[in-house]
Amino acid sequence: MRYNNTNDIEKLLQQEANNYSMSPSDKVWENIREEMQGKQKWTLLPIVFTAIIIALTITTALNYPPQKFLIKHFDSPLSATNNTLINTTRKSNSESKNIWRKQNPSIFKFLGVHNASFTTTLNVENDNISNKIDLTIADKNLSTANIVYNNTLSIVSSNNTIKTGVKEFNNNLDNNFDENVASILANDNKSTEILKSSTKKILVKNDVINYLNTFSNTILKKEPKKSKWQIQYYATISNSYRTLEDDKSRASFMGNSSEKQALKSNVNNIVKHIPAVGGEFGISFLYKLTKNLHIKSGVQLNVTQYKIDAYRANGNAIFSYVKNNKLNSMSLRAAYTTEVGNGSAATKLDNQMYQLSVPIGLQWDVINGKRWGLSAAATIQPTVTLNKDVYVVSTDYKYYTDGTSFFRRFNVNTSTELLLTLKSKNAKWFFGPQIRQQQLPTYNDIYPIKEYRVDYGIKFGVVKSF
Amino acid sequence: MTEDILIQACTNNNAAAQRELYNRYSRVLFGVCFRYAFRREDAEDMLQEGFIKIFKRINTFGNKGNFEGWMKRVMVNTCINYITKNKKFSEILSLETTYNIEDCEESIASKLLGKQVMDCLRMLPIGYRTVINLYAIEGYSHKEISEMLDIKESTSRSQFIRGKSLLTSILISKKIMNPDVDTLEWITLLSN
Repeated sequence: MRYNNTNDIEKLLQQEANNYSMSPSDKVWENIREEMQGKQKWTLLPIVFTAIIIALTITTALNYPPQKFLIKHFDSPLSATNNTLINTTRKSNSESKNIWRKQNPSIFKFLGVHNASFTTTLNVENDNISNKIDLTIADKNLSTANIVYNNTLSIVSSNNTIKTGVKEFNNNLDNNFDENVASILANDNKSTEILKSSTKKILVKNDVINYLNTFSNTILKKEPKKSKWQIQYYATISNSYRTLEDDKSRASFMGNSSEKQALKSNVNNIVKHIPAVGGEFGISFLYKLTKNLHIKSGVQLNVTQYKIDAYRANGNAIFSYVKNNKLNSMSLRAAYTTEVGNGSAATKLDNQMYQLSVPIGLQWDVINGKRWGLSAAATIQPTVTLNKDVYVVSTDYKYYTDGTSFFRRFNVNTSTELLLTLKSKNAKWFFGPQIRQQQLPTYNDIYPIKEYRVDYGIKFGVVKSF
Repeated sequence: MTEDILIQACTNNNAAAQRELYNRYSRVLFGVCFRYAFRREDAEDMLQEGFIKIFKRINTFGNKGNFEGWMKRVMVNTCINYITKNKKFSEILSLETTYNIEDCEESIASKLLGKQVMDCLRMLPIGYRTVINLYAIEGYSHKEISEMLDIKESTSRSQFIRGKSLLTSILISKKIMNPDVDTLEWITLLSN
């Protein structure tokens, strides 16, 4: 198209200016967003990633078979007491047993496979020697509680018959220790065959001490101090409920409108909500403050949902609200109504929310038994909701429509739980009831009907020490 | 999302709504800025300032009148403020350099007539261009323009007539517009 009349130039400019559009660079929006919303904070993301990486590292380390991890072969087998049987006799003495118990904390871990073919039996002849041996063991912190692998502990009666059979060394010596005789045997078949042919009885008191010194020095190594940190993996299966609270203050600004009439009803009786299954999944780190009290924090994903009975019907959802002491209203297109219409199809609306939380709280071990226990915990959970596509009821209680405009992205949840715990070899398992409550309404302050959600669930998981 | 809801959400400083509003109108409003600025960077600065003003003052809109028109007015005022930020407009008027369109980042090679016309407009010296934009496109009177730019009303008129003449000759030279005899005589007279 070409313009022939220069008098049309203003018309030409107006026409072309209206059609003139260009795309600015992305940087412009970034600057505007930063000015309006502040710098985007991605602090949560590194925390999540760090937590995942730490959890994976620890889990991998804990799941490795300790044999592969800790086995150490000794080039020079124990020499002084190989293939010897040292007999001493010992009277039953409850006092020495107590000494053993008191002075033998389980703080050593067996690190090697003893590949020498030998056996050593300690038969304590008298109390004096017995105590000496026990004390020596205690001094060296020779604990059988954590001694594992190819060595075994045999409890042999004083008449040299096996009384309680072969016990693995990882059993607690306190339970297996016989006041009369203790034997330390190599346990692999080859060694046993050699032992049968070469065992001889020698009574050398000093060798007992030497052997114990050598044994404890060579194959035992001090275990690092127990960490105060623990990691907790957990999940909760829950049911989501909600209550609606309408302050109805807008009614005083209204004439005799249909909305004012509607406000005479209780919104909880109009909105029919059906609880639905939700859940939470998370990782927490626990730090031991005292023997029974832990502080904990971590990252958690919540899924909370409920369904609403509704009927298909197009209309305008009215939202009235009081702002600056004035009644304002807006309307949104709606496709669902609360009222049973003429032939309108019944349907269920799904109000589902995905949330990311950072629980921070305390856990108290109310009962901390040897195997079973009971813990109580409470957390406060700053929460960000990841989606906004929820349905909201109009302020005249007639329609459901998209609630994005009123949605509150940041919220605070609280959680309380009572957990039954069960200790296993390497971990502590737990399960028990939990209540999680949403402290701020789901929607922002403009929307006058306040929704509070609460989730009742069963929590289960596992705690491992570092 | 309807415009009313969008405005309401922007009033509440809702980031998603602001992004939606920006997506809807940034191209048109960037076109406005580009008519006033010569360099693309300046136009982007104007757009940025303008949108920040829009978001901060959106509560003053009050659902009265045309929202796009309101945003354009805010954007035009921002452009004028940007141009006059460091210098009085009367000083700028002395800069009568006509830009070579070949130097423009947005080349006339474009096949679109609208773009060609706008590129020709942007070739004008800043004084002519601003007054033509305000008078011929935005529809301000010379009196309003004189107040906006802090110049005399007669200056606004003369800038417009000269600018229009120059623009016409550029459009003719670029074969976007065919001259009639009267126009040729008029241009000749003005150029003498």
